[in-house]
Amino acid sequence: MLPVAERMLLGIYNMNEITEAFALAQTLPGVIAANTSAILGYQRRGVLGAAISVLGIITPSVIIISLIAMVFSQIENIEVITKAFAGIRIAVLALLAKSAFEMWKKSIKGIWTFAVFLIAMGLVVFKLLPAPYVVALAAFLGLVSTIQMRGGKC
Amino acid sequence: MLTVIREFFLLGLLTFGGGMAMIPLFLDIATRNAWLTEAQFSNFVAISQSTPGPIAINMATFIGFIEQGWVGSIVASIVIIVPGFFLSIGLSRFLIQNKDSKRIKQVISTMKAAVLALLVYAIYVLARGSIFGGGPWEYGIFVLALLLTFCFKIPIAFYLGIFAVFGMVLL
Repeated sequence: MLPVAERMLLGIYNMNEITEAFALAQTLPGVIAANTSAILGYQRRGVLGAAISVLGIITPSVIIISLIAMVFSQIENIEVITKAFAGIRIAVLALLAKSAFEMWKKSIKGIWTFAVFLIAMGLVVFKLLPAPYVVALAAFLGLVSTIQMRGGKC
Repeated sequence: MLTVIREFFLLGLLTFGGGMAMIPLFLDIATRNAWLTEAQFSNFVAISQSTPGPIAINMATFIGFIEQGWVGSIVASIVIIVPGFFLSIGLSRFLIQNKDSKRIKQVISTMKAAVLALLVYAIYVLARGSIFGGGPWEYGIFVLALLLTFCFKIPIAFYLGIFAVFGMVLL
């Protein structure tokens, strides 16, 4: 996504602004592409600019996917399609496994993150907490763990 | 409709790391509310990945459409970006000033570790339906898929096309 964005936006923004917005977007919750466009739109035209850029990012998806969803619910029970998707679902699992592997390399560093990973795993496997609350709990644990980081700024 | 709004708002508020990190929470929403079966969910992930646009928006649109038609698709994809939108315009100045803050990084990395656990569990849940129940063909296809994704860089639509053919012929 980023290379395409750079090519299309370079007339309006410079390289630095784009990379900075993209980096910033990742430290905020939600959809990275939408956050990036909100930040960039806001820089040039304020809240209205942000709103318009974000609507611009979601409109094609909404149209394309709604059309596909309409057609798909008609054809998903045809035997050939069902079989094709049985294959595709396995392929998707491999993609998810790759993402999990990449995320593991990036985010599990040291005892703390590994412990949080295990706790979260236990909570979902034994169905002790619904998934969104597990993430909320992690946010809370993260905040608590920063208490000992006194001194220095932030 | 209120449930759609609440669920997607929470999703938009709670996930860091975009696309793939959101998949487990989408799965949670779709199955907990009985909106989709696990198989339908995997199909949607495949379609969302091979069509243009951010995968999270595509997923939200998809689920919203199935639940409430056109209005649902529009509402779901707007609601999911609302929290990030306000935080983006409200906090960007603060975050630029504090971009080296250890505390912010600590909170985010803690959340990411939890999200990863959810993702691993989601993979297990989806595998239960599509591989574990099957025979040697399912396992064989999965091994091949792992090989292709980890060792080669194939355009996603082409990659999924290959496995669609495998599915039609072998499964």
